[in-house]
Amino acid sequence: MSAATLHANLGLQCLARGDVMGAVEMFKQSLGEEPDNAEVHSYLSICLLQLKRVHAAGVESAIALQLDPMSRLSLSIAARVAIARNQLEEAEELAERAVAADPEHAGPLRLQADLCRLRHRPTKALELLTRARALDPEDVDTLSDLARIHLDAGRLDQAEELAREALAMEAGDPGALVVMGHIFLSRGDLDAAHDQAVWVLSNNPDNTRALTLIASIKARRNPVLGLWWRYHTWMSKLGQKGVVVALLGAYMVYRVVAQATEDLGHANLSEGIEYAWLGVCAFTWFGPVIFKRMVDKELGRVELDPDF
Amino acid sequence: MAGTYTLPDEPKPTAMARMSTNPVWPLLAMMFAGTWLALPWFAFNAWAFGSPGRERETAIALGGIVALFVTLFCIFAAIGGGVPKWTIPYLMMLLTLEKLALAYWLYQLQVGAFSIHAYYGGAHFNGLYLMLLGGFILRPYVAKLVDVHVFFVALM
Repeated sequence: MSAATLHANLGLQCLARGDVMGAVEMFKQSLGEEPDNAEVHSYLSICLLQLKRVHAAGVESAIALQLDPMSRLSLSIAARVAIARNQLEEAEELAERAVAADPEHAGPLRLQADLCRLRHRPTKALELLTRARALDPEDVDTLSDLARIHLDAGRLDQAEELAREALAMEAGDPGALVVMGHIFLSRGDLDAAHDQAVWVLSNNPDNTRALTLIASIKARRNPVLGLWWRYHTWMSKLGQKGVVVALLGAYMVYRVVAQATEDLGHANLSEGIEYAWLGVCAFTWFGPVIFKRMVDKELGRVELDPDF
Repeated sequence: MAGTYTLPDEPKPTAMARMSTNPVWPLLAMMFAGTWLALPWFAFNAWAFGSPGRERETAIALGGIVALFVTLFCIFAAIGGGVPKWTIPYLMMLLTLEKLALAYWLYQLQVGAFSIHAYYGGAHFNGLYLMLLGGFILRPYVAKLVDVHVFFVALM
């Protein structure tokens, strides 16, 4: 086995156990030894996407696509990068090419279903996932995705049935556990939801969906921080540029309103607006700090699985 | 022998790396001290920790200073052209908006690469002290430049 293959395999092992930074290092070493391996570029791109390093992920996926334009993996990862960049039309085109490259694989259909969810087309997503399930009835990820579609639509019983089916196939599947957690959360059973998140984190300490679930539970328990969490979730959907534009827009509205009320002779109102803005600034400055501390405290109590 | 594979967003720290700082401090320096400190600091920081976009960031910082003077010139031209007096505070808000937009833009460009630099144990210093020094001690001295020429408002 060459050193490049050895490092690539080690990278895959790191990725499988959730050590994304370790995987990046292994894939980089592998590419240092064998730079033209499309598969390793694709896996590196997956890691970088998980780390939210979208620009680097895009460069890596473009190299993979250039080296192997017909590969299902390269096309799927390129589509995932396009989704991260919010270029949904390009992602759809790449996902279609991925399906065409390997029509018998459930993965690209799941990718298309993800895109449909993002474009608010749940019926089409359901149809695609049903096709993916027919292709590979044992695929736990497809079942979890199906459960999530039902959960989004508020069909909690169907979502639970599918999630339990997925868990019967693979007891510790993180996707299905997180869906179960959200089902409990929707039903108001915060403790049960918490247990699901903890279970996932004991094996996958950096599972983003489980962390989001635990943050949602915390937000539900504390209304003031919950407000900040909802504000933060809304802002994250805007993307980096959108956040800056929204913040600058809000600042300008505040300044204009404060100035205009003063010009119109309402000095007290203007002063009130200044204090209100100061309050908003303090809330958005301290909110995340307190929230992060609370979640960190929560995570500190999670006991890692002995096999981790 | 195998080569080293470098990712496009990885910084290439220089000998000045220990003089780099988290870009949140130049961002706050824009609010507390002014353009005179924040924009050159952003440009210096980019070179110190070897930001992959250092040329672009320097161009934005230097171009930003020029753009601020141009905006101020346009505002003064509008005032000189006879716009109603009550509009002046609103026109001056454009300058604030431009400063904040530049600072947030540079912050967004630098923060990702700086996080990688810090994650790998790259040397850097706490910029809080320089920000406080600039904002509360040096700023009044720099503000005296406005007495020399009103155009120095662009740097405040």
